[in-house]
Amino acid sequence: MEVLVDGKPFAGELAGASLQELLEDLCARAMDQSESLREVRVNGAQFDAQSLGPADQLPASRVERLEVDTIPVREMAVHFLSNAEAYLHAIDQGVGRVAELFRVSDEQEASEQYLMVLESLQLFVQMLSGCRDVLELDFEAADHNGVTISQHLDRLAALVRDLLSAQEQEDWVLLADVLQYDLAAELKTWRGLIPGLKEQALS
Amino acid sequence: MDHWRENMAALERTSPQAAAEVRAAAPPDGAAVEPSRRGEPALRIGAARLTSSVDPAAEGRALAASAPEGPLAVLGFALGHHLEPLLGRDLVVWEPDPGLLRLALSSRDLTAVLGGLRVITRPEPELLAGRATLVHRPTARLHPGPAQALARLAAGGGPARQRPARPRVLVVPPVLGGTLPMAYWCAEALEHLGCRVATVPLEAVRPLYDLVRRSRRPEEELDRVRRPMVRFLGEAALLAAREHQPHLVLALAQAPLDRAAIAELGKLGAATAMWFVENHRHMGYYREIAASYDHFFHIQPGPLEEELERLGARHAFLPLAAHPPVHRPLCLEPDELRRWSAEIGFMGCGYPNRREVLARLAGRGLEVALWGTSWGPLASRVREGGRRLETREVVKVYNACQMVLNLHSSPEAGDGVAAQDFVNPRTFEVAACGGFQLVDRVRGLEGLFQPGAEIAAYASEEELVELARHYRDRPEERAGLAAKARRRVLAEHTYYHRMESLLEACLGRAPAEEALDPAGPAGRAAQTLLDSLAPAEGARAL
Repeated sequence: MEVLVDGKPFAGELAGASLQELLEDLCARAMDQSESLREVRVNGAQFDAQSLGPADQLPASRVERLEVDTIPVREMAVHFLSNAEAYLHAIDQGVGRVAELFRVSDEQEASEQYLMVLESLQLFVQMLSGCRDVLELDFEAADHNGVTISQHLDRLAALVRDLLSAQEQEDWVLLADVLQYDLAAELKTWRGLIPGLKEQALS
Repeated sequence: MDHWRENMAALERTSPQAAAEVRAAAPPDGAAVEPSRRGEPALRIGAARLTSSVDPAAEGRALAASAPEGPLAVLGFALGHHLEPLLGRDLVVWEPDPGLLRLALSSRDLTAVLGGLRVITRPEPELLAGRATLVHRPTARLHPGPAQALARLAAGGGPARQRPARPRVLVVPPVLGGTLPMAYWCAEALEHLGCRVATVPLEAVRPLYDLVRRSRRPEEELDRVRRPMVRFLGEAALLAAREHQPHLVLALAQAPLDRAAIAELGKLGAATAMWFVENHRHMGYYREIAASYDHFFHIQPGPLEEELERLGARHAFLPLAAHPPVHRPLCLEPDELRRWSAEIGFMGCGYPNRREVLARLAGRGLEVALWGTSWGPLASRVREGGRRLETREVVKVYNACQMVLNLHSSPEAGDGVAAQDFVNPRTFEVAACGGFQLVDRVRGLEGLFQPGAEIAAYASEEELVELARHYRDRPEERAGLAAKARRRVLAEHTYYHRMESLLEACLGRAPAEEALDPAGPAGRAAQTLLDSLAPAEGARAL
């Protein structure tokens, strides 16, 4: 198997039964903590889980050529913060659509899109947590309203608990209310917080 | 401020029938009107909200904005927020729960709304036909049957169907139980009537069904198996339907089809029908599915019909029947006669009312030989080890016994005799076998047989004892009555008759036989054409 890291050949033999294990081995041996994977190409084509399946299910035997580009994690965190407002805006639009579906449509149909919104939100929170560690952001610093990022995260968690409770009770109208009126408002607040975080990161 | 009086006055002016129902109804348990975050009243039942808890007015405006053009039928009144923006249009609102409407009428000023539309609490097909529909989704979640019925009724009861000469019919049986053979008798009768029939062999999963049925594991755990199993069986029926492309899907009671599967079958273009050959008092699941079918046939006139009306189901009475190829007179060998005969015999399940009545009869010197299961304290009189008999064995009992006792079942021991309002299959089957039966005079029996002239019927235990003593020593009278009952069954009460009625209701009348007959108009025209061509052919040959 031919392996290239940032365009340069990797000398060693990678161990692993799947692409996932190959990548883990490569990360451990060729990259340090300050770097992260930016792009993976398998046999000359950009890796796409949709067409090739999840990395942990792609057998190593099918990987003839593996190319990875790395990015410093700090750069990646700044990149995330730069795009976070647009990302939150997209989630916000999804939230509006899902709330409407729960009001007028079959909950089965609404549930599929609702799941996507929750997954996007989870990814946002994970990335934010990563940014805090890498960029040493202070989540206890208060914004201009005297509320800290930690408190905003708590508020987000409380809303997710409200969503869960509505889900458990199969109260789809309440679920739509929490999405449309509470979560949407909270996401707008978060969009307002991002510039402050970016400023903190760059300083 | 309570708006009840003014709102009721407005409702009485435009919708007097609904007003009468609302006046007599009580709000459902757990229903409450409480202020929303923006101050407008909001509605919930238990934990489930029927309107937004934040801004019901905005929610109502958004729903109204999605209403299609033209005369409109709306399912669900809730608190009327979605109806206010629609005022001025030709509007009918179907609220299936008059109790909920009562609560709404006390909650806010709805005089303008109620003055500008018509409210109904039961489906009125003529009023709903041809209208566009708007569904208040939380109401539809509470009342899924009416939600499906509205779409059907608004479409005018479905597209007009023309019965093909040889319709394709898909029969969906239950997985097990007494209805399973009936499904196959229906299929045979339909074939006899010229249909091309396929039956989904769902009984193949019986061992799995039994595994779940007999398990004592927690309900939650069993549900994890039942739900996917029902989905799987529904998908199997759909697969069979895609293969067979039926004009009609006929499901028998307890066929494992949920609402989604029934809807999918309908989308294939088939008329969907259920023959609910059950006592509705024991099988409440019909409420979930009745309105999902295009046609719902039942065996029990009376309160069930009122409930089906309320649900918006298109229903018809289709009594049980006998299947002559199965239920017929037999020539039994002497050893078979010894095995299956008795002076008075009863074949069936030992329901509580039967156990009580038969125990008392024994005390009055009337010994009844028993076959079947669940006879409890009467087990010593049960033959064949109290096992469930095969249909062919049941037919032998009906043939061999001098008198067959027929007592309609009830789970209530105190119900005694003649308490039911349906006629059981045994009534038709014994008659078709040429057997003589003593049947309890349930409601509806007179419409199917002439008690006294065609069938010996009793209305009390006293009368049963008298009849049994009377007929015991009169074999000629027994034979005369049995022959008349058999003639009546063969003339009116076979599966052929029932399936013909069902086909006519679902697919329309059979194409005139004359048209297909070579001696009919088309055949005659073809013959004339042939005749006129013959000389020419002859000329060519020359």
